[in-house]
Formats: sequence, structure tokens, C-alpha cells
Amino acid sequence: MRNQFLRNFELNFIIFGGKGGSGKTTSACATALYFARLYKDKKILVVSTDPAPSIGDSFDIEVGNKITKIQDNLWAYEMDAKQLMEDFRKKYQGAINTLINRGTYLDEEDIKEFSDKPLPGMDEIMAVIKIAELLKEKEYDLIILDTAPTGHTKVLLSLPQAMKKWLGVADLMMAKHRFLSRTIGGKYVKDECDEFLENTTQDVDRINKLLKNQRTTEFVAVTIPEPVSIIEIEGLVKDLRKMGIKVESVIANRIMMVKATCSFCISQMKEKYIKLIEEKFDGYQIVKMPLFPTEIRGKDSLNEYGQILFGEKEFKITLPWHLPRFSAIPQGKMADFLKKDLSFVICGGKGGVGKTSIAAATGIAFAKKYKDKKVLITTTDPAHALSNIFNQDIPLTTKAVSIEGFNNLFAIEIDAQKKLQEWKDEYRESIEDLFRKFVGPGVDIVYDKEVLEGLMELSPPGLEELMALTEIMDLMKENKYDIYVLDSAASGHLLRFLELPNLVRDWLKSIFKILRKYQGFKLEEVAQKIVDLSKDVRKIQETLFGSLKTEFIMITIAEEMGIRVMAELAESLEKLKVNYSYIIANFINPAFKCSFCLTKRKNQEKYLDIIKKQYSDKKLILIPLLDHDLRGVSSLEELTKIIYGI
Amino acid sequence: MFLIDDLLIFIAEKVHDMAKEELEDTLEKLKRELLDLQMRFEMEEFAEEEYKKKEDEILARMEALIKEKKEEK
Repeated sequence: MRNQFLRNFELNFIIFGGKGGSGKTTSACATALYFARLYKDKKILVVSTDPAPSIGDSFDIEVGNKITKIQDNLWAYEMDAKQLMEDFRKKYQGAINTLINRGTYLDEEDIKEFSDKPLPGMDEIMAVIKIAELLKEKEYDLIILDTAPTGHTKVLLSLPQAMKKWLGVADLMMAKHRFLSRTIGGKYVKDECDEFLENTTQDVDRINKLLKNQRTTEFVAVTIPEPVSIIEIEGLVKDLRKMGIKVESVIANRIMMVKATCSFCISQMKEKYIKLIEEKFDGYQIVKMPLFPTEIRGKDSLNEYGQILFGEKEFKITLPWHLPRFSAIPQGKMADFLKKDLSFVICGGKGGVGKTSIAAATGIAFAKKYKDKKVLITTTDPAHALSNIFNQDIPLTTKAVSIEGFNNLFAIEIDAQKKLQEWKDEYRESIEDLFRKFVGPGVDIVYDKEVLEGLMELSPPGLEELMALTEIMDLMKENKYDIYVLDSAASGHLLRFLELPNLVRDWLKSIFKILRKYQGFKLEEVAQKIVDLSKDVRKIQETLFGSLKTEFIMITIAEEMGIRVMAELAESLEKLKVNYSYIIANFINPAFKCSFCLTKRKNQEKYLDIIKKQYSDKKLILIPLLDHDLRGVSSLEELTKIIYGI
Repeated sequence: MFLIDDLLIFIAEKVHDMAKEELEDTLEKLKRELLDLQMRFEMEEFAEEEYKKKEDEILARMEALIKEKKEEK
């Protein structure tokens, strides 16, 4: 009999979110297939806003940045922010350029200099704009959204509010032009700029309204029975409720439902955390989903998953009898990594592959090996998971906290908003000076003042990455730490972070071009500050790219999705000239004698073989799935021993 | 006589002030040149080696001017 999960026939917008690796994509795709079967007359679209999408992998169909038919009434779409940005530019660049031309002293040549530059943080903005477009077209009766991991889901869902502010400032820039037209010409006739502002404002309003529509929109939180995942979605659900977004159901995924026949399977029962989910989400509908011994991939297995999800089928598996045996996973295989003279280590990979725990263990390993060196762990992930992993309060701040039990290991969770305020305070005079020279030709000082105040209030897109970069630059300048360990956001956003220094330098080069052109404006002080900033960014570039002082640790899981994301990441790392020589395949089943464990391991071995073949020049390190939680220094020390033997 | 002396002193002072002003102006000009050079280097208009050479040239001219200024005092 069907359960109450998403039993609201009026729903036309469903969003799936949660920590990386919790099964968001699988749940979103299975829900889409289920509804496509249930409502044959409805047109359904499943969309991914993750910069490292895996909808195509899940359906086992090539999807990408085009709306692709999965079956009669079901389509899938993986948004490519770069392509969307190009389309957006083609459509609106003329209006945007005119708007800047009217609101500033910059001439056409100057504006052209900036107009083809990519902007940071465009993934979410383009996603919001594209979703608005899809909603406006009313082509689909139901849109199912598969989001990027938690931190960036929050960024995405709060973006329409921020975009309203940007549009408000852009409108203020137009106010003076309108005033002048009325004063000189007697009346004002709306043009392409007004049309652009009005259309975009309407789109953003439509999304805002839709997100808060309790009748037609619902957010589904997905978690696994692990403390970090539970804490993350608890925070996410709280924020969503504050934003007025409806959450009724929580999927508790990967719950051991087969009769445990070995000690390892018993350890995976995680009853304590299933109880914690029930306590934390009392009043919500909790849908418990089983841990499958094999991957959920392709329409058949997604259909089965969907039927279980909607309570139409019970989970039953038949495990094979004759399975191969596997040798024990060796320990301490990365001891040599610590001998490298490194000053920067980046831990990265797909969402949910264990980046934070491996980054923490790496920090501990360095701190233990080099007692005279100061080690700092930081993160670019807005999910702020360091407190959870160390089980220690690491508040959002701009100051590092000492990790308990160590005198040379520190962690910092960057408060992007606070850092932005500090940055604004430092550059306020320069920004105001630049503004006075380039913006607001001074016809009506009231308009100019409002534009300036509006601009100073704004947060730039891609704020989290920008501020993390700024903080790291500041820390490096102070020379306070010898080794930095970076726990990055999931791969799509990690790439965004790694591309940021080059992007900022490109912007600075354009600013220099303008400053040199307007030398008569007496902007030496501002120019000097920007030269200093450019030097700092260059230093980061020199440290991160093509340097033996920096090494990336590639972390993956032995599954198709993990391998696919890893291949994309590896290609980008090569382009960016970031060194890496180790691949960690995490959560490998230690494969005791029971059929469930052996089936799981057999499936993983298939992918381990692929890694060995495709990355023969890298060292493959296997890390076992542990029979206990990784939280707090003592459990992390155990992981350190497994990886580094220290 | 006094008148001629006063005039001569006035002219000498004026010349000195003008020279001082010119010196200040040249120093400011060199500072701007250095900043412009830094901007061009950040724009990757030339390699580090060439930048260093040009920077050294400007710095040497600035040093000479400062020395000149000190000597005048």
C-alpha cells in the first residue's frame, strides 16, 4: 500500500537536498520515474543544478545541458552554468551594457572589456534564471530538482532574495537616466533596459513565490544514518522553514535492512542514528530506505527503488552463494605522502566520499609528524562540517581555533559574510573613490548616493569561494602556518574555487586597463591597492598551480558515479596544473564472510580495477568502511593510522 | 644696490623653489611610472626579468633624485 510520501496531487515543484552521497540524485530520479508511471498525462522534468551532475549516470543515459527524453512523459536536464551564461549574455548583454553605460562614466570600449568576462558563482544564478524560464513556459506539469550538496543548496534557495537586491541597485542606476529624460525631454519612454529589469524581477519574484507556495512546492531532505549527515540536514530544514519553504518528508537512506549475519553488518545497523533521525524529525514523515548491496543505476533499479520509496513494494534481496574472497586492506600506505615538502594539501572529490574526515586525518598526520610545524585545516564548503568532524566547537569566525589535544593543529571555518564586511571596510575608501570617479556623473547626488549605498550592501555572487580565497591569501601573507589542509566543497564547486584565482586575475587585468586609460583621474591610491591585491592572487596561483609545494588528494568511492566525477575532476586538475599522485578509494567493504558484504565488495572491485587501469600512474589507496563513526579526535586518529600509519 | 640685491635674492629663491618643485614633480612622476609599470607587469605585458630591469631603472632614478634633494638641503 502506498505511503504518504509526496501524496499531494497539486505538487508541481519538488526539491531534493541533503549532504553529498546521501542519495539525493537516486531519490530524485526514482521519484520522477515513479510519477511518470503514475501520472501518464503529466509532463515531468527532472533537473540537476549541481555543477557536477549525475542524473545521466543515475538513468544510465547521456543527458548533459539539453532537455533529454527519458521516456514518454519524462525528461531530464543537467544544467551547465557556463553554457547558460553564454545564452543569457546573447539575450541580454546589449541591455546590460546600456545600463552600465547610463549608470557609469565607463565608455563602450571599457564595458566591452568586462562584458565577456566570466563571473564567479554563476552556477546558482543561472540555475535560478533557468528554473524561472522553465516555470514561465509552463511546458512541464512537474519539475523535480536535484540540488548540489547542502551548503550550496542553501546558497541557491536564498539567492532569489539576493538577486532582488542586485536588481534594485541596477534599477537605481537607471533612475538618473529616467530623471534626465523626463527633465530634458519632458517624458520617459521605456526601453530594452527597463524590459530586462522588469522581466528579470518578475522571474525572480515568480521563483520566490513558488518556493514559498505551501500547496505546490515541497522540499525533501535526504540523509543517511550518520551524525554529520543528520546534523547537516537538521540545519538545512531549519533554514528552509525560516525561508517559508515546506518540508514534510525526510528520506532516511541506506539503512541496513537485511538480517545481519556478520559482525560488520551488525555494526552497520546504526540503530542509534536511526533513532536520532526519528527524534530530530519527529512530526515529519520519515521514509526509511534500505542499503542495497549493489548500485542503483538504470531505469529498472530506479523503478524498484521508487516502488520501495512510495511504499508499494517491500525490500527483498536474494544474495548469491558463491562469492570470491578478498584479502585484507593494507594500512599506512600513504606514509610517503607526509615526507613530501608540502605547504598546501587539497582534499577533493564527489560529494559524500569522505573528504572532510580524510582532510582532518591528513591534518592530524602532519601535526603528529612535524611537531615544530603549524598545521591549519580550513574548508571552502559552506556546509561548515569541521565542527562536526572534530566534535568540537569551531565557530564561524575569522580566527583559527586550536584542535583539542594538539598544540600545532588549528582549524578555521570562514564566515564569508563577516570576511566580506572586513574586506569592504578595508576597501571602502577605495571603492567610494572609484565610484565617485566612474559612477554617477553627478547630476543628482541623491541617486548616486543611493546607488553607492546599494552597491556597498550587496554580496557578490560566489561569495563563499571568494572569501575563502581571500582568507587563505591573508593567512599566507601573515606566514602563521606552515602547512594548509583544505577540505573542499564537492567537485563541481571545488573546480569553481580552483578556477577563481585565474578569474580574479582576469578581472584585475581589465581593471588595470581601465585605470591606465583614465590616469588623469588621480586614482593612484586605488591602483596601488589593486596592484597589491593582484600580487596576492598571483602568489596563490604560484602556490596552487604547477608547484610541488601543493598536492591534491583525489578521493572517490568505488561506484560508477564516483568514477565518472573523478574523471572530470582529473581532467580539470590537469588543465589547471594541480599536482596529484594519490587516489583514495574510500568506504571499501572489508568483506568478512557474509554474502551481503562480499556482494558489495565484488561490485566495488569492478570499479577498483577500472581505476587501476585508467590511472596507472597514480597510487591507489583503499580505505575500509569502518564499523564505527568518524567523529572526534580519537576516531580520526584511528583513520590517520589507517591512511598514514602514524 | 639694495634693490638689485633683493631682486637677485628673489630670483635665486624663485629658481630654487622652481627646481625644488620640479624635483618633487619628477619624483611624483617617477612614482606614477613605477605604479604604471607594476600594473603592466600584473597585466602580464612583460616577463619578470624585464620587469625587474625596468623597475631597477626607475628606482635608481628615484634614488638619485632623493639624493639630489638631500644635498640641496
